Amino acid sequence: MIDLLASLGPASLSLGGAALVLAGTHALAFRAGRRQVVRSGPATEHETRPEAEDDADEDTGWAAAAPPQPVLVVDNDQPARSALRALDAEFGAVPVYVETLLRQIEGVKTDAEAGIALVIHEVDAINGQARDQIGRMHASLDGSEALARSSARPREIIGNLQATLDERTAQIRTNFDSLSELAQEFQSLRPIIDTMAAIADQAYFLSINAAVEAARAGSAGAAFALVAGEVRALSKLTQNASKEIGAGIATFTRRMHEELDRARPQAEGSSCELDRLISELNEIQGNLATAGQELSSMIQSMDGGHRQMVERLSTILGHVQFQDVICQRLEQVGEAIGELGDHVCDSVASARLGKPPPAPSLDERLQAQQSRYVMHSQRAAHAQVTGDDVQTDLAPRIELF
Amino acid sequence: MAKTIMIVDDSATMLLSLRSTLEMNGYKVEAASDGQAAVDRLATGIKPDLIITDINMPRMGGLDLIRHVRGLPAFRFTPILTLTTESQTDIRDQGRRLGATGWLVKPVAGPALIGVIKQVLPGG
Repeated sequence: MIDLLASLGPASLSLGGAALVLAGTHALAFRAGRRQVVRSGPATEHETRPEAEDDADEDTGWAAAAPPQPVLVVDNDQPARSALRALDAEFGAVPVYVETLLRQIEGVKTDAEAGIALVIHEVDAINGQARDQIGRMHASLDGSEALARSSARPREIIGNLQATLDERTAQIRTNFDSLSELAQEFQSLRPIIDTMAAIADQAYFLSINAAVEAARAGSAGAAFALVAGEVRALSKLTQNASKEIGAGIATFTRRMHEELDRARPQAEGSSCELDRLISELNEIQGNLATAGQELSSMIQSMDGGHRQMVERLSTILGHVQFQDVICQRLEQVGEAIGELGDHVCDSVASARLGKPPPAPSLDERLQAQQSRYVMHSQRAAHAQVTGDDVQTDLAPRIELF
Repeated sequence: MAKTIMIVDDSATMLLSLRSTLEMNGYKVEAASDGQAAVDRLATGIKPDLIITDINMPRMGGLDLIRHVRGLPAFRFTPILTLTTESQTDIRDQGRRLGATGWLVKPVAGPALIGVIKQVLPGG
């Protein structure tokens, strides 16, 4: 950096509360809250501003710029020249300092953007996984609904089977009863057969008596003896037939009762077994229907859970908007720092030429910052420093027109 | 059929987060990085059901975008929401006069944003 002292020549300097005075035609005055380069004219005597005025400026911070005037003027003050040389070196570092700050701000923004992008990426991944799961669950839901629909058909089949079985069972019972009645009717034929046997016995005895009487009649009874013989033979045949029929009826009815007694438990057992199978089928079908309903209910519950998760993820994504808000504030701070750096450098350059700082003044620049604020929080922070009134932010954050 | 929402913001992270929020809530998203990019996208023939735009953007800001969109017959009644850090009343009033449907100041929680979208979208 060009030596500031070389361009200044004899000058005066007031830095904070300390006063340095140089002899010359220009005076450079830096005061807290105000920066001015003032032309002092030939300065051969001390000119010291009242201390109270300095205090007043410091109290108000960025007060309006006062007319340029020399603060202290001292001829050939070596320590002051050294101080100005050091100050010149300090100002030379301002651009680097400012650039460093701006780079830091840019780095913060970049890091924040990268971090937020990762967060959003993860949120997307979580949502993607959840969405896939929901897709699979919905496929399962479709399956369970199909299961519930298809379970209605077995129920119908089982109902028909039960009705058919009941009908058949009733029919078998009727058949058994009919066969029992038939056996009883066969049994009731036995007395008739016995009567026939008794008649045959009686005929046999009559035929013997007839043969005896025919023999006693001699030749006159020869023909009658022949008839008596035939009657005896016929009665004998009838006797034998009656016995055989009686025995047959007895055997038939006994065997029929035996077969009925043996078949009835088997038929009833088969019916019970079919009843048990149908009952089991009914139970299985009921379980399937219940499982389908439970699966459907569970999937719907998980679906609701996913909707809640989406809402929470949306909330997270809403919260990350703070990064955009912070970045905008940082951008404005960066612009202000850059403007400050430029103004300092321009002021120093002007001082070298013995000119006042360029317009607008720093105070005016700070005032102008207010018009660039977009957020209430920015205006509030500004007002905290300047002591200005700041209006309460009454506008709703969400407003539909 | 999913409704299409155009989002306009010069912040890449805002576009990312808005896209994620909207897509996970069942919307189709068209993104543009500033007002001019949005105008160019609309000129290609896409017809979003809703436009959500930032206000302070390079090239073309949100207010100019609203003015331009309201001048297009196809988008005269398309709802336009602003989502911005801009909270000044006069800017908000300007947006209202130009035809914005609503004004949202960042940050806005996802569910609240979705609630507003359902309010202004035709058919919810």
